[in-house]
Amino acid sequence: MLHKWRHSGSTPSATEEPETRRRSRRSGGRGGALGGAAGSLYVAFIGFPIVALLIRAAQQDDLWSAVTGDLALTALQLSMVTSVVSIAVVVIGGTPFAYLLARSKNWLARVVDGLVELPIVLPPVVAGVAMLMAFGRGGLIGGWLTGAGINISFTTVAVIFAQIFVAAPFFIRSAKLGFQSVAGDYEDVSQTLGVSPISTFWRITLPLAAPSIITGLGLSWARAISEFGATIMFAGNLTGETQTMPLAIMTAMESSGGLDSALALSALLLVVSVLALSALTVASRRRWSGRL
Amino acid sequence: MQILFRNSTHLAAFSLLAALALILSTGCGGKSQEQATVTVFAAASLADAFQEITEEYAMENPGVDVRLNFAGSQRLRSQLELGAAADIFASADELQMQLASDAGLISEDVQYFASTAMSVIVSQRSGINELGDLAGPSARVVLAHDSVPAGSYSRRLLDRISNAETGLGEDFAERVLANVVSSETSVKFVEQKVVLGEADAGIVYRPGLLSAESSGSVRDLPLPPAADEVRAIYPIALLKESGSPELAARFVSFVLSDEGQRILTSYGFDAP
Repeated sequence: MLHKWRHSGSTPSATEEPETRRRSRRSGGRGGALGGAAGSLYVAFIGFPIVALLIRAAQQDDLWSAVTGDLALTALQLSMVTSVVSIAVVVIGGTPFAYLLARSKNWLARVVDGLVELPIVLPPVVAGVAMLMAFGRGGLIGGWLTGAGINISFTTVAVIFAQIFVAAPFFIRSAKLGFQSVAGDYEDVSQTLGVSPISTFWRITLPLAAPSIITGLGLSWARAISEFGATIMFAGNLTGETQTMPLAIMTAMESSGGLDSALALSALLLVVSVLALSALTVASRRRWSGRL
Repeated sequence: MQILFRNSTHLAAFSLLAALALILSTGCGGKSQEQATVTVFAAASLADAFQEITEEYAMENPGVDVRLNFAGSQRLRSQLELGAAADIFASADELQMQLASDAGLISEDVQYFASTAMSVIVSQRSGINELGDLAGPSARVVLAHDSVPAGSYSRRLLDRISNAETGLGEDFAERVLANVVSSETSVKFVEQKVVLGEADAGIVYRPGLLSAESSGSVRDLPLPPAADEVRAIYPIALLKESGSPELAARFVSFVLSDEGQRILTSYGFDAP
């Protein structure tokens, strides 16, 4: 197996990538102006609703008490804990899996590759129903689990299951592309010089693929913390137990006079997410630039 | 898109087909543009009954396109407050109608068109046989969230039972609420979770019990007489922003007519 992986590192897509990037950079001029105009429009399109949300949230008098209230903090804590656990599971299981996918070329790997990405196109509510059908008490293996005294639906574990289900593809996909961009030659040379395959992975492959892995980590975490549909279907909506931030926002939104509270929670989630993702970017730059 | 379409030719071909389909469908739908529409925002619990009412109404009023939007009344009220366009609001409780009215959304008098008692439904596979078991140590209870009309009625029902001389104890409501594993955003979700067997028990409206029972996986628990005092009452009203107030008024009249009432009764609702 190892031999196969080593040589497939120089797949066309991996070597072509820098080539295309250079070409597009050269084509500045008119393309650049068009790109700039489209980009400004896009930034305005995305930025305007977010700014509107923050302004409306800031306009209320008791914003501070809303974001430091029990409802907000309980939901935020639950969101942070579940998303971090989910992403830890995704990274630990997803990294070797992504490496395997990147280095395998047979038909089975391609089929698996397609399946891995399925949750991305699946509506989250469908994912939630599917999880109920599998792990719910009446589910395919859920009935057996219940017999063994294990309940998953309506627990914090169900929240984590739902998050892993929807978020893992983003990490695996990105990490796989990262590994594919590392030419197998580097690994070959390293191992020719007597470095063990595991050591080669840690010291050569992983650092080179790190930017993609970090990107995948960020995307995946963002997807996990914003998870709504699968969670409300499979895990339910209970404060402190399964009510993550998106569910708390929805619930607040529907309570009478809850718009202010929903806005405050939304702003809080937005700020925390942006801070976390920025911290990840900064930390990863420091960590890996020292290494390369 | 890259995930689905491995190369740009496929994507282009698909886009072309999609565009064609869109053009064809709008071409055929040209007639419906001239049709008058009535948009009804109705409580989730009214779904089955209102679908039949709409069919009957459409037969009596050919050319009128009735659009139904079912959700928890609190969600509908919130959508209306945020500017959703509709002609009629049918709520499952007075509070949501009052809030809509306070927000200046209601155009005329509010009329009551149905009422119902509450039912406790239990999954056939659960070990719950009597009301007291709901407060037992291992019961998994699902209620609607307290911002949802059904959730507020459910809590009132539990309180009423606690205060009656039923022998269940004054802390009955408290103990049941401690067994709640999820606060759903619509009474329909409560029904589903019990039908699926994910929850042992839930509180729904009487019509919800009838539809849940048809699945064969749910039965109801006998309730003490005091439970009958908690009744859900359904108001309906025209909305100020209505684009076709005459047709909308005709729809409301139909709901209140003998025919409308007969349909509601057939789904388990009582007269207001």
